[in-house]
Amino acid sequence: MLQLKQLMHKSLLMVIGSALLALSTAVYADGDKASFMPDIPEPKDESLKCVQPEDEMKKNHMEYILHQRDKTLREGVRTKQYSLKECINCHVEKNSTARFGDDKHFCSSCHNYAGVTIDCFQCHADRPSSNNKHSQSTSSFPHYADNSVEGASK
Amino acid sequence: MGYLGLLAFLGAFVLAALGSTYYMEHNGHWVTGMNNQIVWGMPHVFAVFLIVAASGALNVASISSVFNQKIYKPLAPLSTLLALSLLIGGLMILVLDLGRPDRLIVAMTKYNFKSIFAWNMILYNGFFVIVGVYAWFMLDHTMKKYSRYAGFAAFIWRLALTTGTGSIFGFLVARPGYDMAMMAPMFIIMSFSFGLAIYLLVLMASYNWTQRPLGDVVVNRLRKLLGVFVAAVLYFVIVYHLTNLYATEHHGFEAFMLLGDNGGSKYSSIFWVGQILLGSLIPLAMIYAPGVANCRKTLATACVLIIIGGLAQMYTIIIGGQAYPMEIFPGMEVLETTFADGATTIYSASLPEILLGLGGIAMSLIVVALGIKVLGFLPQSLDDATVDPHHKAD
Amino acid sequence: MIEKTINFSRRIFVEKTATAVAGLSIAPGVFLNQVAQAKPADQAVTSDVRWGMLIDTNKCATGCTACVSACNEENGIQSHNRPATDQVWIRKVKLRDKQTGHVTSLPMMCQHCEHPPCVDVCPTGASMKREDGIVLVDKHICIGCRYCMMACPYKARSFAHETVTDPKEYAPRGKGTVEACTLCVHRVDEGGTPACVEACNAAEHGAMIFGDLKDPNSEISKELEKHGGKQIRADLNLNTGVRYQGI
Repeated sequence: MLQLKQLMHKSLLMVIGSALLALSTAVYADGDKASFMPDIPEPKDESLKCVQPEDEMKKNHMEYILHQRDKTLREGVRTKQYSLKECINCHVEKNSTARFGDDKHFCSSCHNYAGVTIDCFQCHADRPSSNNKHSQSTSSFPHYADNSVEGASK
Repeated sequence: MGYLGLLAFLGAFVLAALGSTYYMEHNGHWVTGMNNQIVWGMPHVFAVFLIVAASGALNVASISSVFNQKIYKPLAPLSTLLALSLLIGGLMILVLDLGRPDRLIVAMTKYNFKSIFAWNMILYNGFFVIVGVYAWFMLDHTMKKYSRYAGFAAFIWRLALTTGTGSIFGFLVARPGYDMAMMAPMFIIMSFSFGLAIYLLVLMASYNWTQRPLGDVVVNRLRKLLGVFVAAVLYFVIVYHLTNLYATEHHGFEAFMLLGDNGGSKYSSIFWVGQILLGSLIPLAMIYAPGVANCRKTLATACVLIIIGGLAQMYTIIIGGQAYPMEIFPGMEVLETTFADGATTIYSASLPEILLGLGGIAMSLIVVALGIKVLGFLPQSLDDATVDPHHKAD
Repeated sequence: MIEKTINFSRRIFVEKTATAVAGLSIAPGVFLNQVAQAKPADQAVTSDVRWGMLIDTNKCATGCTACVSACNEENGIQSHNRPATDQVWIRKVKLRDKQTGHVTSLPMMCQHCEHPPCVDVCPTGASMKREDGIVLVDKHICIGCRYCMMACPYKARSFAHETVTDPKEYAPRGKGTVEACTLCVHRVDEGGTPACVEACNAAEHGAMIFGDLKDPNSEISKELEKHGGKQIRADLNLNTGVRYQGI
């Protein structure tokens, strides 16, 4: 009698255990890796390096952008290295259908994943403009083939 | 209506205010009555009124602590509670009407010290701290001996606060309706009047509902004080307009505000009927008329009229001051413009703006109701014998 | 890829020359009026220059709105067909002198005061004046309180009442903040001219001159010295950067 009870306990535990295992593998199997990691779109030209090593940018991009933001607005410093506009120029296609907020937009791909709300794009353009006649922004081409190239002083 | 019913009733207004805010912020402010000419609308009328009244609600406490009037001592804690709650309500409206209320933290951390508005943020925050400490000292027996000093600090601070609020308008050189240093003292005396009217209403209502005795001695003293304040506001309003009437460049504004010229009939009606007749003359008569000395209903009506008059006064100052066209091109007549130059602007408050304003008032009253229930802000009895043992019935 | 490479080398070339041979027009046809030399991109603006504008109202044509259209186009200002709440950075005003009956037409915009009331009243410091005299709103810290709009004697500012869709990448704008003429600061920083001035010249009115008020040899300074220029509401002593002739 006691043995039967122990057996029942054991089998019950096994059932629960295998059910949990099945559930967890099902979760993995169900989605591709996108369910667990953000699917960050690649820059337009992969031969180019970002303005800082990727790890550094992942951690601290906001510091660079914030610093540049005040420099540009208040002092008229218009270097391109850390400007938000250049991030967009490099990381978002002209006329991209992916707008900020979509998982396919460079910025929101990760921000959606991390659940970090930003309000940059309530004012800033979230994609390079297509009919921009202004010289600084006409280039469809990102500015940094190499980090040593011009502009980015200091 | 029970206590919970009261809370639910007021809570509904607060919810409506929050819903209005969501509606306005989600769509953008074009759904409100405001526009590029009248940038401060109905929410500001309510908000500035409550902020001014908050300072005035502290009158009774100030009189007891600073001027050491014993009869007012038991009334002082309610005075501090009301001051804090009115400021909470007013600031709630102000913040929720911002273009970016989500950036409140910016307003609290970045200060331009040349801006009187920035100083006001400091004055508001300081008011919470100082009046909060003052209330604590009065209610805590171990700290009671310091309450006089806290009361003195609060008295100075509330004068500074209302000076700051008045100066928001007084320092605007461009607009003929503002640009007068007298705005600061006028706002102080307005605060005395509006704050005391609200205080008296809350005092009488809460004693009535909780069935505690409230004697005529206290009420009549406050009634006479209120009469002085109402008269003083009227005096300041007269001097304000006399000053404008003396300067030729301000004649246009006075004709607009007093006579309704140039499309100002709405504002002149609100001025004469709301502010002067309902808000000043009739309450004065109700306060000083012989035979109404002990009539609570007359006094309560007078208080309600003073509050309505106060809101009317805020409306004429805030909306009227903006509606009157700015003199950008002196000596010129504007023939064509796409931006309403030289034209009086029409403003009609939208429902969400009014709901936001009412929600602020409701918020204040909720805080009062909770404070009275949870903390001992109301003495058990304020009958004549308790208040003044030497009082003889006359 | 070949096209890109060509583009790229041209880009580098353009940038290098822009810095080295400052003052040359960067892209043909873009900057018609090259005023002063463009400062290097990595340098902060200084108070050695003060940007200003001179408007000759006698040349300003009644009914012409070229400057307004150019401004709207340049800065991505769209009308929502709600005149009371639409953005207005620059507007045309027609005036008649009550005494003489003389009729004047002029464009009205931010006057870029030396002592701007909007900057004085702004609680957070969002309303600010650059070293070179351009008055801007830092929309990053603007809380939308609209006190600057109360304070401005020129009604130069507008509140963004509605969501802005697709702002220009060099002129970020957004709902809930206050905005005004930036003197096309993004152009000025590269040695360019504000869009309104360019449009006025293109329309062959030539009523607007843009330039450095501190440079005695600039066109604007010479013209001001020769024929003078008035401030609107000069009684307020704000020392505006925008001056008018013929009012």
